[in-house]
Amino acid sequence: MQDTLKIIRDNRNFIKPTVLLRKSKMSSSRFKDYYSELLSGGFIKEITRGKNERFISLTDKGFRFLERYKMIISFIEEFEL
Amino acid sequence: MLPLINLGFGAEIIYSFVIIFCGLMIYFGTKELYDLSSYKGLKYFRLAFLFFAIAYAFRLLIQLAVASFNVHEIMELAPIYWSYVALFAFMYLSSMSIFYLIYSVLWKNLKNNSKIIYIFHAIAIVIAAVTIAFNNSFFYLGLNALLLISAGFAIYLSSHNPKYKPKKNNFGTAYLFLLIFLVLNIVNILVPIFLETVKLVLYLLSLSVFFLVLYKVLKKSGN
Repeated sequence: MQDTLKIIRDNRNFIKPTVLLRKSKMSSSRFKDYYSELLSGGFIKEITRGKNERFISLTDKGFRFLERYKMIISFIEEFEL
Repeated sequence: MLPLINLGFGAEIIYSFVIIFCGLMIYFGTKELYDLSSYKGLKYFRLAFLFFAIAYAFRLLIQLAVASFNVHEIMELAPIYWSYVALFAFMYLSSMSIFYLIYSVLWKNLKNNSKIIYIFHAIAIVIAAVTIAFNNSFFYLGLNALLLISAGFAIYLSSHNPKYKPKKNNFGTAYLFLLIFLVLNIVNILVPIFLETVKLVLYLLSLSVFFLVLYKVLKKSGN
């Protein structure tokens, strides 16, 4: 999850789904599940530009997740959750 | 045997309020981490401390009732219906907080774990119901000893899981102490005379463990 969000952020927070699929190196079926999970979790949002051209960008929650990622992992490890 | 130090009612109230405060601080202090991650272990860990806090609010209510009616234990007020309700709620919430704490550590090792939490709720309701039904000190002590042994066994199993990687700062010991003090605090409400002589030591040790957990939680959650 962190890697996918990082790809979007490092792409100036504006990326096409097909480019994200390629860069994330996942199978298309896995990417589809993963993508809808990120979307329903509110980590990413879809933006439509021009002639139905879809782009993906991080939401505030997505940015906060990336900032707090290390802290979340460290907390889970510390308390053996 | 006479108590080492007779704890006043004021001290009991302060003790309950400090534990309620610590429980709520842990619950709300980890809110952002859970909102961002939706991680199951974190959810059960937070719920354990929320249930601790609510259970201690009922504990305080029970102690207020015991002091106001000038009796020694809550079951002496048994004909009054709300004493049943308060004791039932205290036992259910305390048992659930113990189960949530154990489950927060164990959930990832259990297959088909989605239904287990409902079983824990059912067991907690049974524990609360039999506490009301059997008004007997030995039964209470036996029940809590069983609860403690089961909890200790679950923590032992978790820490001896082949997938488990031992860390330098293992938190399993702190969990075990937390569970011991929780069970002893339940015994203290059900059979007050049993721990009368060591009540102050029990309270101080319980507070130390709660403060340690709170300190670690606040430090690790960036609060």
